Amino acid sequence: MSSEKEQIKNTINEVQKVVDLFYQQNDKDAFDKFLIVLEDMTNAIDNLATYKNTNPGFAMDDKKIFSILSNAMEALESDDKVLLADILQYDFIEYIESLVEKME
Amino acid sequence: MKLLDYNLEKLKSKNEYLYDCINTILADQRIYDEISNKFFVIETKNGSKTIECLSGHNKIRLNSMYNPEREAQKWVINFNNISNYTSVAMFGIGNGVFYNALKEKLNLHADIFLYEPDVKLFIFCLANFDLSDILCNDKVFLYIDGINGDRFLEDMSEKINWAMLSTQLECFHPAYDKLYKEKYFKFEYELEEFRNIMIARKNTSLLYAKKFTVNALKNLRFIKESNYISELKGKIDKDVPVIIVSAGPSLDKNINILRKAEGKAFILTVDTAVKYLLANDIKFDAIVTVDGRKSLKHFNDDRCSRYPLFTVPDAKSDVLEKNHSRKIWINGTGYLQVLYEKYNLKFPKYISGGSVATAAFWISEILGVKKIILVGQDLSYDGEMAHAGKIKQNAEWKDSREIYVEGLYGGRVKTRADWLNFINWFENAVERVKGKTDVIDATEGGAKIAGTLIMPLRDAIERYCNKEFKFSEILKELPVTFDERVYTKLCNDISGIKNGLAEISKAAKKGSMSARDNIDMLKNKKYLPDKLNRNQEIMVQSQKQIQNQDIYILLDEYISADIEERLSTVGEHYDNVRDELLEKSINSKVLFDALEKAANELLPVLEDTIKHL
Repeated sequence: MSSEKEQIKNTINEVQKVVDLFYQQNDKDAFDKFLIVLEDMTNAIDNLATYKNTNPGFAMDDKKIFSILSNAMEALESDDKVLLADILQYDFIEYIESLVEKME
Repeated sequence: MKLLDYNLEKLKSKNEYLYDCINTILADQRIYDEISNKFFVIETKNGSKTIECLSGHNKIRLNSMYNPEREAQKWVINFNNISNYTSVAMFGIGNGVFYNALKEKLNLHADIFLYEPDVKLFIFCLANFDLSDILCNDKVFLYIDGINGDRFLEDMSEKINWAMLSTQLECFHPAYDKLYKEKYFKFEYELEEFRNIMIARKNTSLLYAKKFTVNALKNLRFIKESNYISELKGKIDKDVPVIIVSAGPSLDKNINILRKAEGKAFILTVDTAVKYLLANDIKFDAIVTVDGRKSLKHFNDDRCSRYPLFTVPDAKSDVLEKNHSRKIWINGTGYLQVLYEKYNLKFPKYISGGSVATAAFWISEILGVKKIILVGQDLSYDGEMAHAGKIKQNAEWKDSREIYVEGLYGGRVKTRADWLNFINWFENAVERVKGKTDVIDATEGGAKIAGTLIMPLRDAIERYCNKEFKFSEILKELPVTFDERVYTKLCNDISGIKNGLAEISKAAKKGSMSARDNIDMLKNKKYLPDKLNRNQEIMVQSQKQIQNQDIYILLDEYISADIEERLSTVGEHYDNVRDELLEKSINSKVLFDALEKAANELLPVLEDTIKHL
């Protein structure tokens, strides 16, 4: 497995932990972890973009990822932690996981 | 059938009072507009439904927009060892999704106390979601703010034993803490009150459980010339007020005015106030004593032995021995209830406030009188004085913090933690009897009890004490509970307890040996699964045999100090099955040994009681 793919998989695991903490109403720990994971998420998206550039057939929808992150920020701003967790779980993680599966 | 009708039918089958109250609310057509303007059903991405609530300008959702069931399952993971919990206190019901997730993981025998802070939201959920399990389940106790929410604390205090405190889960429905912030704070405050009550009971139990159990056995001899509280229902004219005399510092001020109420009210005195009344030659009607540790010095005056005694099965035996008048049992705590039920005699549900004055109030409530007058009910200090007779605070009592409450005539008065609990109890009780009974506070000092009518004692007597009344006449007409024929049968039942104790001793010995066997195997890590299982079965059987004995109910309390240390380990998390099994086996052995010891210690007490029946 390439180091980029490993980084993305690790990021998914870390985001999953953030999601679980939010669902468990452990908001302080969730936010503390989220702040750290945000950087990993950025790096993961960068790694996916780099992979797309070197693999033209790789169908990564930039607009979709942008929309997911945008919705996540909106949820964060309106202090809707459950919605934030939902977006991270069902939109971000599920989409990134589907992309990782297609990576070599 | 519409969901609302369906849910209401389910509610009616279990809780007619709540059902009637909800129907009364629904009769007002305005409620429908209020509800439809505030709550909305939203379909989630997985096809389920959630609720969106309008809170000011904000919309707050009660569940995940994507997958409410999964959100609830993740939420439940938060709670470690959930199957070990014996009870749950939860703020907020919503559409029941979180309740369902919780219930799936809980032990079948766990009690679930649900507090819904918004009756309109509750009605909205009744109309849009199937809440039948919540409404019908025998292990679920429902409290709706504004209807029966005031019963939450009392009911929990009654239903939950202090030993179960470490296995109670307290939680709230997500988003409810935001939507109903103030009510949530109140809920948390009530839970803290509950914990304090349990800790107080635990401390009392640990120190005095053995003494109380011995009292309960010894006091069986007083059944012969006794009645129980249900026999007095309806016997006292509703227009005759009950004057409850307590021993607060203010009693010194108005005790002599009580003379004007003699023969015109039912003067019920708490045990600590008896000596003051007798010293001032005030005639009263009956004494209330409920404390198993009560000092005999309160009964030094021989005249008090002539007065009937409202009491409890585990009251101080020496006090009952000294009294030659009728005993009236106000509850059947422990074995007495089991015994009386054999003869189809049922005690009413006893609402204990933790003090003899609260017991006196409860007695008055059961008697169904229209007026209760409180005298000497300061529940606060008067300078340094804590009690009548210019008695200062006991030097050994140390207030951990300074507590001030509103005084009867305004201003602030100093109280203490236990008195504050009693003030809260009285306030809830006054609210409970509202509409049926007026409560007049004629203490003329002390802390204010909200909801009472404040009046000088002289005025209260003039206004309410106008009818002739003699409690002694009522007792003369009232035969004791058991005639000679039935009493003989009862004596046989009590004698039969000897066999019960012998059975318990035998079963406990057997259980203990099996537990010891398992402990040895597990500690030495040389265990045979079949043998482990067989011993486990023997322990379960032994426990069943023990719990089947009627007298077990007394032993359960008696052994509490012996097993207290082990109780705190229940609900702990273990890393592996061996450790968990080992701890459980150690717990079992401690329990069986304590039971065997208890049965052997109580046998001579029982034999002595049988001699005196």
